[in-house]
Amino acid sequence: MAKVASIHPSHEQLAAFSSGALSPAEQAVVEQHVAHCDQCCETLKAVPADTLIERLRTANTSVDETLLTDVQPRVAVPGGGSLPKDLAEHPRYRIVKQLGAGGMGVVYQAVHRMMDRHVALKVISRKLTSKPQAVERFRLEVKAAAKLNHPNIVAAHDAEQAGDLHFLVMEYIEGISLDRFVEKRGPLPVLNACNYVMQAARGLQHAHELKMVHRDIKPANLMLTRKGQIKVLDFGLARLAAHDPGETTMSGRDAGGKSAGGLTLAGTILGTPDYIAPEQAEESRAVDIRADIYSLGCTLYFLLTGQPPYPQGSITEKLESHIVSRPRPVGELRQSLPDDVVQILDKMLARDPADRFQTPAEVVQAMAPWSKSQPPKDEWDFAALEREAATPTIAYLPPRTGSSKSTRPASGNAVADALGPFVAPLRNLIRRHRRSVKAAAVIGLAGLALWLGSSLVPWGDLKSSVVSLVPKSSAIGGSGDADRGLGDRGQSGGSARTASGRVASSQAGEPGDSWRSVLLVVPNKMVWMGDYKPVRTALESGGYSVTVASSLRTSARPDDDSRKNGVPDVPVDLTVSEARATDYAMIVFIGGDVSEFVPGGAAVEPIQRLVSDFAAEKKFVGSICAGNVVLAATSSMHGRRVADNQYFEMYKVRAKVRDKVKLISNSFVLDEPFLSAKDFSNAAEFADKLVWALDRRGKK
Amino acid sequence: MSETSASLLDRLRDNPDEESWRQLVEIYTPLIRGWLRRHLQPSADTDDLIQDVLTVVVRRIREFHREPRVGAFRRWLKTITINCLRDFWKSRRNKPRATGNSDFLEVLEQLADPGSQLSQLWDQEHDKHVTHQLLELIRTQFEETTWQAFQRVALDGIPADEVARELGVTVNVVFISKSRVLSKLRQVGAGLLE
Repeated sequence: MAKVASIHPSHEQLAAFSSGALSPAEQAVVEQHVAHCDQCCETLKAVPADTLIERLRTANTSVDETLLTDVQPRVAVPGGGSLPKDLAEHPRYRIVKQLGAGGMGVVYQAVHRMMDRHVALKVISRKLTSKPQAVERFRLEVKAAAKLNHPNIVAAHDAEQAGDLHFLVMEYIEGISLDRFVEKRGPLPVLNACNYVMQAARGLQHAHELKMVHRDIKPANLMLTRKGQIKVLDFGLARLAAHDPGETTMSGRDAGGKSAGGLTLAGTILGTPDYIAPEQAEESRAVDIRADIYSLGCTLYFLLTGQPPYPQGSITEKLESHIVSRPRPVGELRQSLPDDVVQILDKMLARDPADRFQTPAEVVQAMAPWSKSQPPKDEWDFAALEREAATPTIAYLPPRTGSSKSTRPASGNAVADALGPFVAPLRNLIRRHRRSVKAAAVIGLAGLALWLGSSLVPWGDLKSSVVSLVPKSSAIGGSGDADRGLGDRGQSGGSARTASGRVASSQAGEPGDSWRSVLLVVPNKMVWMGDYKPVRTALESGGYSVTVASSLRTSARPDDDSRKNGVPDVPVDLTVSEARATDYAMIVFIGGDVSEFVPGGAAVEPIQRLVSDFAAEKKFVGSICAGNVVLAATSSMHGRRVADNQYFEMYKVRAKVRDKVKLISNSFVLDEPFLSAKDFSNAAEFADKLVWALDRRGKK
Repeated sequence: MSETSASLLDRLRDNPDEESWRQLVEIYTPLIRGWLRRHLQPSADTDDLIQDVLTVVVRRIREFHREPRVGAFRRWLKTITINCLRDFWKSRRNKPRATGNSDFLEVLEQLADPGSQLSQLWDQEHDKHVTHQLLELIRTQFEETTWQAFQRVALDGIPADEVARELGVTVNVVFISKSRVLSKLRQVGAGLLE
């Protein structure tokens, strides 16, 4: 035990120390003492949590993010949306936080007061339990669901009541639903997608053996745990809504969707019927497990492509599509899928149930070669994905004082008018928090214009610049007239040289298609071919043209091993100083000896400018391996996340960026528009993600 | 992020810069929006309302005096929100509506009453949300191990011995980590948290 000469702090001082309440001077003294005094540590162990900590604990576990940041669509919860009193005072369960909300009701995390066990409570919307028969049915369904006991099914424990509210007590799962997962990170690698579907099929097989049908299989009902396990949610609940065709709970997003031309919506719970089997769309009551297999097929389609089989149209049209149409071949949306997987998918999606796999077990068997036996460990930063919704991605730049007079139209809002220059950025910043998909493009552009204009754009001008920046049919960073005007010089340079450096893919865009071009930045020596090759190959086979930039115009030397194996030099199309962000849809920093690009190097300034320009245009900025160091050292990365690796030590950059950039120990880190991968061992998947990101952006 | 030792509130009042405004907007926009969402019928005016509230905060922050009483800031913010909502209601021909069966003005009245359930809910939400946001704000200023130790011992309530074992550090380090983060949090959040 360490001996400490100085006098021990008083108990009060230690208590204050424990809760961070000491003055800076005292803090320093006590800290120094505690560092060496085990006796004081013993005392500290006995200091109870103070009120701040109590509040932090509540905050950390119960910040109601879905509620506060409106990430998810919600329906008005009866009783004004707050926690119903009966539930808040429930004798057995203490509510910890709201996990989500939907047409079915609201899901809360809760703790069993006696057992100290974490559970999820699904409070069923009053609409669904208003009639005694409905309540009875709810109980029966839960009773049946409670019999299910399988690692791939979320266990239902009990049906409970609080006042006139009915709720289901379920196993609490820490994880993310597959719809949100794909929304955040894009289509999944084939093996992951197959594995998840196979796991879900295992769960369904268990249910099938107990003669149960789920009826609402969709990505939102498949939870992915941190360990890579899939758990099927909401067994038995679909029927709850199903029995009251007259009162189906369409979420109201599509007026007139209640019943459509003889189609009953009884089988769908809410929202769009993207995953509903044809026979279920026609006559929901007669369905068997094969309807779940069809829905699981639609889910697989979504996991692989990022969209359901029939993404377009109203509810009615979608229902009809399931019955009469064929989805767009999956191969058109996702290249180089194994034929076997396409065949499995087609069989799952067969219109006639008799043509599908007849049991989930058959799906499991067919999938087996395509799904690793162990659940693939997913290394995306879960926490970051969750946080993302709350993190604005546009920098906030208020107009400089004394900027040109606001010419925005009078808002009729005295307060806002009085504030003059503050209003525009505030408005945009506030709007940034709205995650409305519809509004995203325009808002993004508004923010972009604001940012581009170095914050000198007053509101009125802002509007016009937004208009001028919106290409007729294209998107942010697109090839609209305004863009082209800006990029003339660079474009001819970039694209022409590109063509000389390699065989252009036939699908690659015409010169001027900046959204089809990608700028790869390589160091001039020791280009890490393990990064460079997969990235370049994937981009080109995805139909994107690649331009290579380096610090010098001379060809760049590959790493030593590659050179020994006869790999030729990498042709360089232009220097980083010559490159212009307007000419490309994305910039990617490749690994190698990056000393020229990190602080102290010769080409730091152009890198700084490029990253800032790309980010300002909301174009993707990728990096891998030592490229992460280059990216992290730019000022655009302040407060952002990037994948950590040993190169931060190697180039002595860690200490410099530590306080500014969040280095995350993951294989991949996505902090839009920044996408980074740890090192070459992730290069192939990284490259796929880049292509996906570009495709997605292009589609908008 | 700037590592000034002054609290966000003090910076906003005495020496407002871009960073502090941005932080204010980031912290409070989702809170106000979430609240409006739940208690009022969704409306295209939500953004305008949030803007109104924050602009008043911007304009009048110098008039806000920290009080020894707990919750002074959240009360002040609540008052501003209520006033903005009232003005908004008056200015509209299509009166905004509350969710459920509640009357819009009645909701405001309830909110104005510090003893009402709605008021208490406001306080709870405010505290939860703001503490969470402030933690996010200061997180970058700490080494990962320091943060982990803080998180495990203070937030997760794991005994210090166990945390020390988990992270491969001494118990002393765990306590110091916890103390440092809490100290920083108090510093930055002074006036907003208490």
